[in-house]
Amino acid sequence: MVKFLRIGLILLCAVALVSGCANMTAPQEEFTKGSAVVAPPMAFQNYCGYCESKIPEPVPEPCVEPVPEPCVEPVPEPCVVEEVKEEVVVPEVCEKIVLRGINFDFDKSNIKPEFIPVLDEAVEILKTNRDCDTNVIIEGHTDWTGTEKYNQGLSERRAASVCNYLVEKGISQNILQPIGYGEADPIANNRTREGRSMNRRVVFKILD
Amino acid sequence: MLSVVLALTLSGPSTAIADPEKPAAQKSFEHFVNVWMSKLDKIGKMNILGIDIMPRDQGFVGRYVCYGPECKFSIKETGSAETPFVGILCYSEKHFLKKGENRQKTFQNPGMLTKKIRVTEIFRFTHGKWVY
Repeated sequence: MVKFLRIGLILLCAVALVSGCANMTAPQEEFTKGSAVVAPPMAFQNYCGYCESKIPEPVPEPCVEPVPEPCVEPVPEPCVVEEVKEEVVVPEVCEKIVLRGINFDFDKSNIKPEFIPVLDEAVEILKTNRDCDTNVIIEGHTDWTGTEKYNQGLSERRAASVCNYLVEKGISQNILQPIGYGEADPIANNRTREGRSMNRRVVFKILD
Repeated sequence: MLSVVLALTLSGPSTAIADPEKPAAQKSFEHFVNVWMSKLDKIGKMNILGIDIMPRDQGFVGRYVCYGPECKFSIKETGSAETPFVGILCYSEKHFLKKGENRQKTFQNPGMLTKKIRVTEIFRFTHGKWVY
């Protein structure tokens, strides 16, 4: 009887062994074949309830936050202002033509017949031996008789009147600039009759 | 007496019949020019006396303008009944600069020529006289 029990027990063990092997998981099969298997760490719960690894868990590499490269604002290249080598050239007066006897009637700016030979001579000088792009300032000047405001307006009208005549005679308007100076730029003493006569004038300033 | 160098230029078309008044007009213009240049000389002297002296660059400067005395002149027939002749007078407008350590020395400085501008004045001969 005991003998039968022993044989039965052995058979049971054998069946259990065979069925156990048949239910092996893939890792277990690998293990039996001798392959190196990285098994998941077996966890045990200690008395404090903490999980601790018997097999030290692979220490993950410290999670180093990728340090962003310092955000360096792109520095714009210094704005190099190129030095302007060109100098500002202020045109200089290289010649003057003074028209005498252009004595307009009181409060008038029309060209009288007796003025025409003087103006024509000025036109001839302007046209002769001169570059066509030479700029000419036409200045009107008065003496100090009358108010400053009146003389200013009068000198402007007279300069414009002479300018129009030059244009009629073929001088390009582009090179002419009429300016009225009123009584502001006397060359002689306004207290004398002679001085006042010298101050009443039309001047062409020919620029370089 | 003003030392004026006068150069009378007699010019005109040789084919044109000369205006019988021309010699008289020429003569009168010569006299007129002498008087005119004397006036300009007087203005230049007044400019020197009345020079405006200003502080500049650790010193003082003053500028003034003189005219002539050298000049050239001529007359031209115009064909105009109102103005049979025009007179042309040429001279230089001279710009001077005076410098000095103080106002007194600046005033006494002989002055340096800084700019020379050619001036042409045109006068008209109307009703037998030179008008300006």
